[in-house]
Amino acid sequence: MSGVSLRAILPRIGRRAIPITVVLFAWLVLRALRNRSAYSLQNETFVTGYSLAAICVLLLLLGLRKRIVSLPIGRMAIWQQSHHYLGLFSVGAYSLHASLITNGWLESALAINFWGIALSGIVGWYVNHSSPRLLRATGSQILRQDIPERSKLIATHAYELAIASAGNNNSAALADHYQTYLSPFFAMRRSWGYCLSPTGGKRRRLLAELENIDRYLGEEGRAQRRKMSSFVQAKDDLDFQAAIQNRIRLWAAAHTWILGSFLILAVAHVVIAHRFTSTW
Amino acid sequence: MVDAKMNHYRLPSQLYKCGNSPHGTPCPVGPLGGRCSQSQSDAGNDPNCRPLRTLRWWSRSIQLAAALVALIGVSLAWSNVGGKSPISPGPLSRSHAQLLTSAKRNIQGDSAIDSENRCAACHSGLDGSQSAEIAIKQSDLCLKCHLQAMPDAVHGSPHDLHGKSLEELVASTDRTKSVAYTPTECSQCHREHQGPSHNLSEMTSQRCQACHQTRYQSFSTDHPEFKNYPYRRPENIEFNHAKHQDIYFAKKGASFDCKTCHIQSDQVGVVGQVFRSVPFEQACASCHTEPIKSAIQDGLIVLQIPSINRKELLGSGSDIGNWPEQASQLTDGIIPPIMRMLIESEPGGEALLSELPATGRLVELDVSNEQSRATLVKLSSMTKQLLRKLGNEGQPGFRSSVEKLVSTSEGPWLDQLANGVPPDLFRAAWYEWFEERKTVPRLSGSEKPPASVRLSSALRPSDDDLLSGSESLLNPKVQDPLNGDPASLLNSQIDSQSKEESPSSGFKDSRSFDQLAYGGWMIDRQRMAIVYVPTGHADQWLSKWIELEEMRTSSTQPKIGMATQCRQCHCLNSRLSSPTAPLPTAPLPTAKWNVAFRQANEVALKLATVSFADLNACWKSSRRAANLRPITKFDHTPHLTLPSISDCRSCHQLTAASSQFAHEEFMPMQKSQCSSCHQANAAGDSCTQCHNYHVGVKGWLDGK
Repeated sequence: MSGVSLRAILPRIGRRAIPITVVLFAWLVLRALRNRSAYSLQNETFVTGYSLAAICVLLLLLGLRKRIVSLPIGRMAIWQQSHHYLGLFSVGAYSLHASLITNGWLESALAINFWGIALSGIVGWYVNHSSPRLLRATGSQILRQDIPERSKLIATHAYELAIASAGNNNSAALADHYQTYLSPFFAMRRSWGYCLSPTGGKRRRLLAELENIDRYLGEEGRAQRRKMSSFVQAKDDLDFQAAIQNRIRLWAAAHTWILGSFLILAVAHVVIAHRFTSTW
Repeated sequence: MVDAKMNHYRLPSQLYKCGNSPHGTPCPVGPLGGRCSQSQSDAGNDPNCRPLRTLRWWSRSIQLAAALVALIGVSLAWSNVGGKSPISPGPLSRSHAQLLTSAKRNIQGDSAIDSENRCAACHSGLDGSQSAEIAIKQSDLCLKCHLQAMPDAVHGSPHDLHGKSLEELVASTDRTKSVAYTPTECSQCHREHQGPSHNLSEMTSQRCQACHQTRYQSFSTDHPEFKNYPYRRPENIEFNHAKHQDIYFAKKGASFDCKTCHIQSDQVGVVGQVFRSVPFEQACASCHTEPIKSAIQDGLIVLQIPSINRKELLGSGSDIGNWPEQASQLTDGIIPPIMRMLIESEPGGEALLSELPATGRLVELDVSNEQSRATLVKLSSMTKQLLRKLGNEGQPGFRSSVEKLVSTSEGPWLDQLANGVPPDLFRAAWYEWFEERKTVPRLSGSEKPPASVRLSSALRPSDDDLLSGSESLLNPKVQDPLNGDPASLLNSQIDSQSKEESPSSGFKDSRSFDQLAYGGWMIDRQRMAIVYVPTGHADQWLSKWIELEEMRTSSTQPKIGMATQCRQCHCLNSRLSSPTAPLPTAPLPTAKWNVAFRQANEVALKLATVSFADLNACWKSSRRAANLRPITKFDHTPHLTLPSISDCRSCHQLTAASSQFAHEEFMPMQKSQCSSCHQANAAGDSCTQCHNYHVGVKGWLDGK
């Protein structure tokens, strides 16, 4: 590993070291509290359970913060970071409270809900962190809502270029190629597979095919072909942007899908625990 | 206006978006919320002009659906649908599950627990029968079933101790009293709903240290050294291991194998198949049967005609009346111990005994002395009185005599003592010695014949009976000689005995003792005595008399000579009389030791007085009751499987110095002997591996 890459990585590690240390310390404190409760012949699950409940309430505050845009209650990025590390702490607190999947029906449903939210959060975290780099790789960032219009514009330009090349013997092959191969590309929406894991395979294949028709084109036609290639690249970049941004949106949404059921089950769990446990 | 609208519906928080937006041509006045006025008017012209649901709409729908499913699920679970409650946090442990699985079952006579009411068996207030004002603790419900095994657990106090035992325990720890006296709940340690394989009694060492503040990080480094473990108590059986090994076994050339006397493979005790001792027949009989036989072969004299020089008395003007010639030659002999006790029970008996010489020897009485002559007359009269009483009143008379000797009425014990005493033998002896008749008269007409005879008379057929004349079938006298008149039977026995004396009778000339090889009652004509010959080791009748002697330790009367043999091995209370016996530091199996210990420790216990039952228990080697639950537990079974310690001597080593107390023969075990294996990463060193939590007062006293 070169010195340059180390210099790039170390600040990032340093930036995360503090919150991770805080999370680790908080987990150790909670573990000590749990042990103290257990060794005092108290019900230690109430210590970890209520800690977990408090953490969940704090995690929910992020959703509230998103809806409050006018009040000066800190930058969204800080809230987001806090949410991520609190989420990590909640997994640690859960490990002190119960096993991976518990025994009872209700408790198992609650555990599945918890792990569903936690895992979607972890995946969302990874997606959130890896996406900006991918988006930056495609050049300028475009709002997700603007992408269809941009795509439409590029498709229109490509169509016009194809029409222009059709009337000239030096570039007729480009028009033919457009009609056969490129027209569906500019008109189509990308597959679900591409949306989940976007790749540049199709783009490379289309560009290679375009280059292959150069031998049928004159000088003017080759200039038009290069322009067409740039349209293909632009369209593919837009599709890539759309896929990445949709992926972020999807994981963010998935993180909240079972939030309601989790809250209902958690409240029921607390009520039942108090009703049926004699010592706490 | 249009721009504002456009900005609004292009925000990602909208539930709908324009149908044309995916095609890159969104309408500038697209849908706001769920409606689109533009699309309604132009829907016929443009198929794309209808609102599309956004990801937010789908997310919200999924959220609502999931929450609804959860809400319905919780509601159904709360209403206990399907019998087995879905709100249960997990399956029960195997033993509790077995108890509650069946459809209906009574628990300790309580209302039946059915499948819909099974939670109420352990959780209070669920069956609707208890009002909120009378809160029944969950532990009370546990103890409905477990109280029998742990009667002291009802207090919820540390180690189930209470009273002075608890005070003693608290004083030995550094916990504050408020903590120590706070009642504990069962669920504080026993966590249910962890599945069938969960061990409910499992407890971590850290939990023990909730009270035991001295931190034990490990057994090997922190546990205190043992105090005289496990030889805290003397044994009922006095067995000198060193002597047996070095002298007796060595002399016989036999191997001294511990397992012969300490392992009983067909039984499992509280420490495995190892016992303090095994039955006599297995461990001792091979060497001790013959000495015991020798000791008992002369029998135990119950009543003996004292030898009194009748002529000398007559010469001095004192007459003892009819007296057997054989016992009239000279004044000699000793009043046997049992006879002394029987005399003592009679009116004037104690005064008579006090007049006799302290040594008990009659020869020491000076016949020239009028007082002595009067004593001999009284003695002869008392002897006749006893013989007549036992002959006339039989076992009830015998029982009433003994009953006067003991302070309390020990019904079963007295019954067992009177059992087997043969009144006919006393009667026969009377007629033989004082009326010079060799036969016992038949029972008078007023006396009821035995039940079997009465039954046979009732069944005797009439003349017209079909079976008349078939005497052999119905007359039990003919069928079974035992059904005959006991007096006539005894006559025949006495006849046979008298014929013994004349070689012409055809019976071989042998002693009656030889014919009572398996024990019983007989008249000993040589000694002029009624004799009981014990059956051998552990004879019940003899043991009862020895117990009676033990209970009357203040008496200065001579002991039953035969008992000396018994006392060689059975210590009973004999140590109390030993001035060298140390004050017991722990409760002992012998009854009076227990009393001494309990009084010394000011512990109020049920067994404040010694009962014959306690004393009787001292004959056998004590075996710890399974429900005693001492503070320390141990099982030999897994230890004996290890080759390195399979030899008992590897842990139980004899001391070099010989001790009079068997329990002091062995060197106390050292902690290091256990800690070599009992480490966290080896055989384990948790507290509950060797200690019980639920001890109870009896176990606490036994094990501490």
